[in-house]
Amino acid sequence: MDKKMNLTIVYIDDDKKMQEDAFIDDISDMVDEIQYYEKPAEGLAYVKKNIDKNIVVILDWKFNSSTIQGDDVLKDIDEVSVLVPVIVFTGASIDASEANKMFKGNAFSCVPKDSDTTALVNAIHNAYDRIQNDIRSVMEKWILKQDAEKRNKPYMRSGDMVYTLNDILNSIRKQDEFGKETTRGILSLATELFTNNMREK
Amino acid sequence: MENNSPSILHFKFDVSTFRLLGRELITDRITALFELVKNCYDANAEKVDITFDSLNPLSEKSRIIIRDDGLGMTFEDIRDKWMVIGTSSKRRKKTSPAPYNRVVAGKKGVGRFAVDKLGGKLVMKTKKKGSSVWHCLETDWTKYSEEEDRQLKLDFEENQVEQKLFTDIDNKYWTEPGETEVQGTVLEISSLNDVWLERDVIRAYRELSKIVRPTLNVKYPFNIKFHVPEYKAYDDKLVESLVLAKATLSYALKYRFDTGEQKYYQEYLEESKGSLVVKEKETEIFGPIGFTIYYYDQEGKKNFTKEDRIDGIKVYRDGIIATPFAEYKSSRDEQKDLFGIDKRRWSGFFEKLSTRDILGWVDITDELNPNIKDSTNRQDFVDNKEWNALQVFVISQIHQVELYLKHKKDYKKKENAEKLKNAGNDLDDIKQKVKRLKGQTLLISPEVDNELDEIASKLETIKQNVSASTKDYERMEEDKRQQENIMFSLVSLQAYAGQISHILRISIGIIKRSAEFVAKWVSLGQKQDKSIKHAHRIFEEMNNLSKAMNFMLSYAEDDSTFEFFGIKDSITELFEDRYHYLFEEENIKAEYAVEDDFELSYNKKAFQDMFGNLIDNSVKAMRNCQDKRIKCSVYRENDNLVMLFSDNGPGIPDEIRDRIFDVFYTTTADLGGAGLGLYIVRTRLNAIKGTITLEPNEFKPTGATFKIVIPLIH
Repeated sequence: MDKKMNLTIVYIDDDKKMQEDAFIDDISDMVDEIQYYEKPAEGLAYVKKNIDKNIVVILDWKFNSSTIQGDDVLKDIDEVSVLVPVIVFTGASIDASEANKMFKGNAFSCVPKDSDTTALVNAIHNAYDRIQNDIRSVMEKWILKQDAEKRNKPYMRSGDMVYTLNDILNSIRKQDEFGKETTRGILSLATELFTNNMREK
Repeated sequence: MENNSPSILHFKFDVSTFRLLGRELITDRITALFELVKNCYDANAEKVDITFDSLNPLSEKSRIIIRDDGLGMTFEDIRDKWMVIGTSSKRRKKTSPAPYNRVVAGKKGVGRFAVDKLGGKLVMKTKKKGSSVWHCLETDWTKYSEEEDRQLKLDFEENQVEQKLFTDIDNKYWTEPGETEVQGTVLEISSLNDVWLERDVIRAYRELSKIVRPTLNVKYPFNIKFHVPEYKAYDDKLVESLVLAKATLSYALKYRFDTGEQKYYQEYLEESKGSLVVKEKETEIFGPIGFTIYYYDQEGKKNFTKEDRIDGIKVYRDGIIATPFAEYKSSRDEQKDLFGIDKRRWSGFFEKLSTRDILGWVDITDELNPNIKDSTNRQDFVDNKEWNALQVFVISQIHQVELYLKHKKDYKKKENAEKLKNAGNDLDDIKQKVKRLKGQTLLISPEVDNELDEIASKLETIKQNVSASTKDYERMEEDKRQQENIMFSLVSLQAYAGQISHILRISIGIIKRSAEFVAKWVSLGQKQDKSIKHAHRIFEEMNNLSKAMNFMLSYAEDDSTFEFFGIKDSITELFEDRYHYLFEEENIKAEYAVEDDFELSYNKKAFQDMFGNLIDNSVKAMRNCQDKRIKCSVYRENDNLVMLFSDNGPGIPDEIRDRIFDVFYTTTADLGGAGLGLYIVRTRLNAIKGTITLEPNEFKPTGATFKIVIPLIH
């Protein structure tokens, strides 16, 4: 039996009948919770509000009922945080130009709707691994562990700017210039520490 | 004219290269000619003259002369490039020298060897601008064949390092004086290998017409002219791009500057009563533009090869393509639909043109259209109001072409029908006149009177023929309408096939995962409730699949042909036979009233299936109602058959009114609704130009009423 994941699945699909899909019943024991949304905007609102949770989004690609399509939702999620893995789950045929939209939107993976649950579970596991192992997610988790007061106090200075931990968290999530720079810095530092250790041995 | 000191130049080559390039790559003489002309194109020539002299029968005088006004060669070019086989300076550079920047057409530097295919002897004269001499070179290819034979006899194993593999063949070289301003190259090929029949020249013409690419920017034209004194049809004939020549419609809109008013005026197209008129108006905010559009019907499209594709409207700035993405892409999907031409197709399937039907370009200039700017990534234009206005302009012009195509046919038909009718009336007129003449006995001799009788009788026969023809014509029109109907059904089937594959994929996935669930948990003896739920789900989904299949089958079955059937009979059959049992079982009071009975030419089964879908929906919607009612009324309104279909269920909430005709949309998933029914109804009605709309409910206080309109003359 797979180890339970500390994870919230946000499933956005306007085909209501998918709410009853077997994969949901199948994985309900593997994750903390599964949130189903028929409307992309509502799913997005949930992600925004619960951004501090470990979230994997499963996203339908073609929405019949709305002008908003999968690639728009990808973009919106990216603007909230690039650290939320999005698995596209679609019945549409994906040609080069559609695949291109997914890559551009940083989709984590794409699972066709005629796949078995195992394929979906594998994709969720991979996404969860990324949340666990991605240096940016690790930094995010570390900041989230600090108490609220500490997170609002100036933490570091870079050039003329002073940043609180929350500023850093935000930058890492959005991967703006400072966010990228910080990530690179931490990675270099970690590598440095790791190799120092090797030398001492 | 010959220079006093002719010298000798040598070709450097080995036998295998010669064989490969000269014989194997250039498989026939048309290709050979094609390659030579490509060389002219790559040398930035704007004009190529090809003279075929004394082609049939062959004589001392027989010649093919290819003369261009391209860049020409220096002595060094001849010695180091032309004379060294297998080199290709073209391969290193993908475009010809600026400002032409043509995408190089010639391949692998084999063009010069194409000459071998055409004739045994070549005199080449070439000159660059600025130089005062023509460089002239005479090559006798027959000598190469001799050398080839000699080399082929060499023992390769024993002579591995023997440089004799490379040969020294004498080529006479000399110079001739020329005007400094002139440039170009002349290839005069004699000792021709083959007789050229007229059909060979025609083939050459057709092949060469492909070089003149429709998207070639107009600033640097490339014209090929044939001179064939023996075949008059091709003498002094400009080779036109067949592709453009075969366009079904073409328009080139220009602009002009009015010096008096100091204003620019723009030409534009406007459809009016079945014709397309070029009009003029003040320029819009994007500035004056040139707009060239070609439209191709199926016949026109046949002239296109894979390379010469019809691919929509491009934008050229000062003659150069404005955005790199519009250049050749191997996959259509990679091409950007700059003006959103194809996007519109979703809103109307039949009348909209797509990028596969039209080809053209918008010519803008830096000076006159400063606000049409490339975005920084060169993938698009900056999204400003000028660009938006230009998009609107282009789309509106395409729309005028669409209107024209649509109306032209109708007007023409009407006109013809009118003419036939008039012919009948004219004949009546003449008959009257003959009658009047006959009445004037004083003026008419008995002979003339007899003649008049004969004329009158012949007129009667003609009139009968005309009226028979008119009937034939009407019958033909009717046949044609039916054929069109079938075609529309097929097109809607095509659209449906795309949707159905989507449905199948989703259904199969649902079944697969439910089955996986059942298989997994039942064997573990866990999640029993859920396993039962998913077993049911498999069953329901299978039913959905069956429905989708049946719908597809109803198209595929033999009885899907059109037939005439009475509306009243058909509706009666539905209510009294097909659904009678269901109505009884569900306690539904079903009533129908057919006020006017008509014959409809349609697929009867498809017609009944539409009602079947509506009835199914109503039955599901009314499942929790007490007093269940369904009502269907049919009547005629102008040239339309109108059917109102109502139930007194809970009705359709406002917020989903717009969605009910969408595929997959269902509010009765729990009852096995697949969201297909109304979609199918709408698709089928659209196929016969009918409509279905949701109307205010007939039954009060709640209920749903659908109105179906089918044109009786469709």
